[in-house]
Amino acid sequence: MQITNQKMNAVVVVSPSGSIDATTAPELGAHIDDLVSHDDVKLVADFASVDYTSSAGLRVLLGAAKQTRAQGGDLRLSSVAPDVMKVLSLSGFTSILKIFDDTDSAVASFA
Amino acid sequence: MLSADIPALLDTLQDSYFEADPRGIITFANRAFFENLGLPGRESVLGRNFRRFTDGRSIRKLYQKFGELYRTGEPVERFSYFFKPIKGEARPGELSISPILQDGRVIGSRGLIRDISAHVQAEQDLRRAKNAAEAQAAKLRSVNRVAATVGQSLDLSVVLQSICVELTSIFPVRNAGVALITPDRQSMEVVAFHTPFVEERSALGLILPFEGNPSSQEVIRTRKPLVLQDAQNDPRSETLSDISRARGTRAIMIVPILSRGEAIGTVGMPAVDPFYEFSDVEVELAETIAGQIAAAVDNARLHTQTESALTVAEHDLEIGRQIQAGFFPERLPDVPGWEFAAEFTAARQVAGDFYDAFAIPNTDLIGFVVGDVCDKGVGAALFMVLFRSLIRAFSVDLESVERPRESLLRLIRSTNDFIAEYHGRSNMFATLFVGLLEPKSGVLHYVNGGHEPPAVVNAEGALVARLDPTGPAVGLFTGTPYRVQSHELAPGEFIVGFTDGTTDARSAAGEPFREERLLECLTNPWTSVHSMIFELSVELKHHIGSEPQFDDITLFAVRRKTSAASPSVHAICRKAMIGVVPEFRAFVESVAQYSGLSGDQTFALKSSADELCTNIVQYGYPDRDDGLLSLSIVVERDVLARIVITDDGVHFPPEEAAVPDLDAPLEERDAGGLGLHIARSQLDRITYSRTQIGTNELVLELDLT
Amino acid sequence: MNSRPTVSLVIGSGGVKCAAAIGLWSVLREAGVQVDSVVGCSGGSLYGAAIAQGWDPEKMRSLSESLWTGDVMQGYRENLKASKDGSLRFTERSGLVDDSVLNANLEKIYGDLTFERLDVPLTLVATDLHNGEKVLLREGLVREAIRASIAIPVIFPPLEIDGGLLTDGGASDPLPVDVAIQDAADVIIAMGFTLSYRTRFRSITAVQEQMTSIYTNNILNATYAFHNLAHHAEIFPVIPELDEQVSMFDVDKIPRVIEAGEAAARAQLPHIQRALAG
Repeated sequence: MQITNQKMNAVVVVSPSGSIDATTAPELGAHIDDLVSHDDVKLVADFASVDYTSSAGLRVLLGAAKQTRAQGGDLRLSSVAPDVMKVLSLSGFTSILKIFDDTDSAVASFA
Repeated sequence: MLSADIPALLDTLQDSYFEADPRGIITFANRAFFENLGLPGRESVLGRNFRRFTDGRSIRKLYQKFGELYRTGEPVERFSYFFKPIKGEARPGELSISPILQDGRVIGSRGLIRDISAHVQAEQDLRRAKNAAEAQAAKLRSVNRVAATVGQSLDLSVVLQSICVELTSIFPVRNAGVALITPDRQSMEVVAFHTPFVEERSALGLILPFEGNPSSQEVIRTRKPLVLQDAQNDPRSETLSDISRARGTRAIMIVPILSRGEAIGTVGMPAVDPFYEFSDVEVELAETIAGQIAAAVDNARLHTQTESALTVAEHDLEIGRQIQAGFFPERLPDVPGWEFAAEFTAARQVAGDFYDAFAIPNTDLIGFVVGDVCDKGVGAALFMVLFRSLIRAFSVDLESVERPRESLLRLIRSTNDFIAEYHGRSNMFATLFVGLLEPKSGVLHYVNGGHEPPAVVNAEGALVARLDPTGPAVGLFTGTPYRVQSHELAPGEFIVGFTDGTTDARSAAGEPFREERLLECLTNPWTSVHSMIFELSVELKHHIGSEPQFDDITLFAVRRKTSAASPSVHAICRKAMIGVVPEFRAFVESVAQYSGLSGDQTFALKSSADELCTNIVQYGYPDRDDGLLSLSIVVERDVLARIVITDDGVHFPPEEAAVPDLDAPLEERDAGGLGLHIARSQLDRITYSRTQIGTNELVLELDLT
Repeated sequence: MNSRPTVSLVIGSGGVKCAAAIGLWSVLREAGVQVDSVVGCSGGSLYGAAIAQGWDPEKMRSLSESLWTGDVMQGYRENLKASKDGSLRFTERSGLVDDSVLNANLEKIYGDLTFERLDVPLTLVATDLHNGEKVLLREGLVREAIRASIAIPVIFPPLEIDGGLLTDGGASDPLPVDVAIQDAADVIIAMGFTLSYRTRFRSITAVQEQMTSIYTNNILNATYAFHNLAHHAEIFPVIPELDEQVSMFDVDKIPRVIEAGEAAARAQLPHIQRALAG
C-alpha cells in the first residue's frame, strides 16, 4: 500500500491510499509505529485516497490513537469517504476519534 | 675590529638607531632616526625624550619594555610599536632594545627601529585584495544560487521572488524589483519585489506606464543598463522621480531583462546610500543576473504552453473515452434461462476493441458482437463506434424472425458494404463475431468475420467446439461473401468470445498469455459465466503484473443455464490465506454490481464477506496451512442476496468469536468480534452450521426488498 | 508525556441521584485534584455545569431543590388526560408538561451564563429525536443546553437547537465517557448511575419509566465496556451505592445521596491520586 508522510509544523500528515484490510493494515500499523517511535505523536491520517476499510483498519487506528494519546499527542482523521465512515460509525469509533472534513482543519486542531 | 667612525657607519643604516639614558633622553641618534621622523637634523632629537617620538597608544608598552630592560639587564626582543613623525600619521615600527652595561649595571639603552609601515601596508593591501577577491567569489556564489533557484521551481513568481532576495544581499540596495512588460506593451508590471527593510513599502503589483517613464523606456529601447545618480531630479526618471523622492532614492541601477535579443522587462535597484556610485563591475553582475531572470521567465512560459497543450490533448482524449464508454452496453441482457457476462479493459484511453449485446426490437432475439478494429488509437476508436452503430442500426431492420440466418447475413453484408464503400479510402476494417441468439430454442446463429474463434464449453467444463471464421474481416471489399453457421447450446453450455489482446497480453518477461492457457482457464465446470470471467481476469492481471497493458482486452460470454428457473450461482474458491481476502471482496463486489444492486447493498455484502473471510483465515487454521475457502453468492433480484462461505477449518461459531482475552488491549484481543459486529450490523441474518463432512458453513443474507 | 495528566470529569444520567456529584466534587477539591474538563449528561448536566463554573459544593446543594420546584410539573395531569381522550394533539415537539416553570427555574439558577465564560471546558450531551444520534453541546447559553439534556422524553417537550430537536442525552449515551476519550483526556473520572427498577406500577408512565431504566442500564453496560477498551489510560468509575429510588421531590434524601457520592469518591481517590502522580 502506498503511504506518504508530510510534515506540517509539528504535525505529521499520513496519507495511505487504496483499501485497508487484513492484508494491508499491518503495513499502515508499522508505518505509524515508526513515526511514534521517532516522537512524532501528533498525527493526522488523511483518508482522501482510502476507498475502503475493514475492522483490521479500525484496530490499527485505535491502537495508534491510544499510543499517541498516551504520549500527549493524538491521531485524528480527515477526508473520510462515506463507505469508510460507515464502518467507523457502525463500530462506535466516530465517538472516540476526532474526524475532520479536510486535512487543514485536522492539522489546525492540534494548535 | 670596529672602526672608530661608528657614528658614520650608523648613519648609513636605513633603520633608526638611538641611544638613551635611563630617563629616556636620547643621547645619540643616527641619520635615519631623525629623517624617518621627518626632522631636519640630529640636534632636533638629541636631548629630547624618546617618548616624544612615540605615538600615544604605544607609551605604556614602551614603559613596560624599557622597565624590563633595566630590571633584567637583558636585551628585549623585538616588539612592534607606533612612532610618531612630526608630520603625518603614526607609523608602525619594530623596536629592539639592548642595555648599555658598565660594571654589570645598566646605564643606558640602545635601540634599533625598523620601519615596517611599508610592510604593514603591503599586508593591508594583500588583505584588501583578499577581501575583494572573496567578495567577488561571494557574488559569484550568489549568481550560482540564483541559477540554482531558477532550476528548482517552476513557479515563476517563487523564482523571481528568490532572485530579488539574492539581489538585495549582493548589492547595497534598499530593494530589488523585477518588472515585466504587460501584454498591451504600454506599461510594466512589478512581478517580484523584495526589501530587507521593514519600513519600505512593497511595490509588488505596481504598474509603471512607459508614458512619462522615460528611464524604463530608454532601458527597454536601448537594451542597455542605466545608472541614475540622481533619480529624484533626473528628467529621465520623471515618473520614478516622485516615487524616488518619496522613498529618498537618489542612486538607482536599472538593467534590462533580455530574451532572444528583445527586452521583456527590467530589474531596478535603488542604492541604500543615496550618493552611492554603482561600479561597472556591479552593473555587469546585475546584467548577468538579469540574464538568468530572462531564462527563468522563458522556461516558465514554455512550460505553461506545453502544459496547456498537454492538458488540452489529455482532456480531449478523456472526453473521447467518456463518449466511447457510452457506446458499450450499460446493462447486459436479462433473459430468463440465460447468463451473460463481459469484461473489457482498454489499453489506452480510447480503444478499438469492443463488445456489444442487445435485444432485437420487436423480437425475443438477442444480438451480440465481439469485435476488434484494426490498428489502435483515435482512428480505431472512431471506427469502433461506426461498426457498433451500423450493426445496431441494421439489426432494427431484421424483417423476418422466421429466417434468422438470412437476416443475420444481410446484416453483415450491409455493414461490410457500407464501410467498404464509404470508407474504403481509410482502409479500416474489423474482425467481427456477430451472434444472433434464439433464447427459446437455444440456437445461436453466427457469422465470424475473421475473428478469433470463440470457444464453446459444456457444463462439465470440456471444450466442445470452436466457432471458426465464416468469412474474412469486415469492411475491406464490397460484396464480400459471408456464411452463416448455427450451433445449438445444450443446457449448461457457454460460449466465450475474446480478442487477440487477451491472448497476446504480455507479462514483464515479455511472454504472451497464449490461447492454450486461455482455453485451460475456460475449460472448468464453472458455476456461472460471471465467475468464469472474474477468474479469467484475475489470471490475466497476475500475468500482466505491473506492465502497462499492450492491447485492449475483451471477454464476452453467454451461457444457457442448466436450470432456467433458478438464479445464477457465482462462486470463487481459494486456499485459505490472508492474501486472498481482497480477491474475495472484489468478487463479491463484482457480482453485486453485475446483479444491479445499489451502492449500499454492494458495500454491505463486500464488507461482511471481507470481515468473515478474514476471521476464518486468521482463526480457522491454527495448525494448518492447506485450508480451502470458498464463497458462493446468489442474487435473487429484489428479493434476497445470499452468500455462503465454506471452509474446512476448525469449528468456529461466530458467537464464540467474541470471547475476549481480558488482558490484551482491544486491538489485539478482539478475535474477530469487531468484524463480526460490522457484518451483523449490515446484514439481516448470519447463520452458522457445521456440516456432516466437517466443514463450516456461514450463510449471510441481505434482504433486497 | 504531558507535564501533568489531564483530568476529565464525566457525570452521567441518573435523575436526582446525580446530586451525588456534589460529594465527588467536595472530595476532589479537598484533595486538590485539578479538573480540566467536564462532561454532563441528562441529570448530570446540572451538576456538571455547576462544577465547570467552579461552584462551591455548598452552593450546589440547593440546585436540585431550586430546579424541581413544586410547580415544575404543571399541566401534567390535564395533558395526560387530554392525550388519552384524544383532545390533545401530540407531535414530536410536544410534552405533557408546560415547561415554562422549568425554563424560569433554569434561568434563575444559571442566568445568562455561556459556555465560553466557564472556568473549564464543558460538554453537555443531548439526543436528536429524529435520528437518535448523540449531540454534543459546547456553545451558547448553558441553561439551554441543560434544558435540552434533561428533557425527559414525553414529559418535557424537546428543545430545538440548530435545527435539531433535542431530548434526554441519556437516550443516546447515559455515561458519555467517549467524549472525554475523544478529547484525549488522560484520567477520566466517571460518575454513573444504574437506574433502580420499580417495584410498583400504577400508571402508564410508571411502566414507561421502567422501560427507560431497562434500556438505559443496558446501554450503559454495553458502552462502558467498549469505552474502557478504547481508552489509552485509566477510567475511574465512581458509582454511589444507592438502592432506593429517589424522585425529584425527595428533597430530604439529598443529603444521603451526597454522602453516597462522597463515599464512592473516597474509595477511588487513592487510585486516582496514584494515576495523577504518574
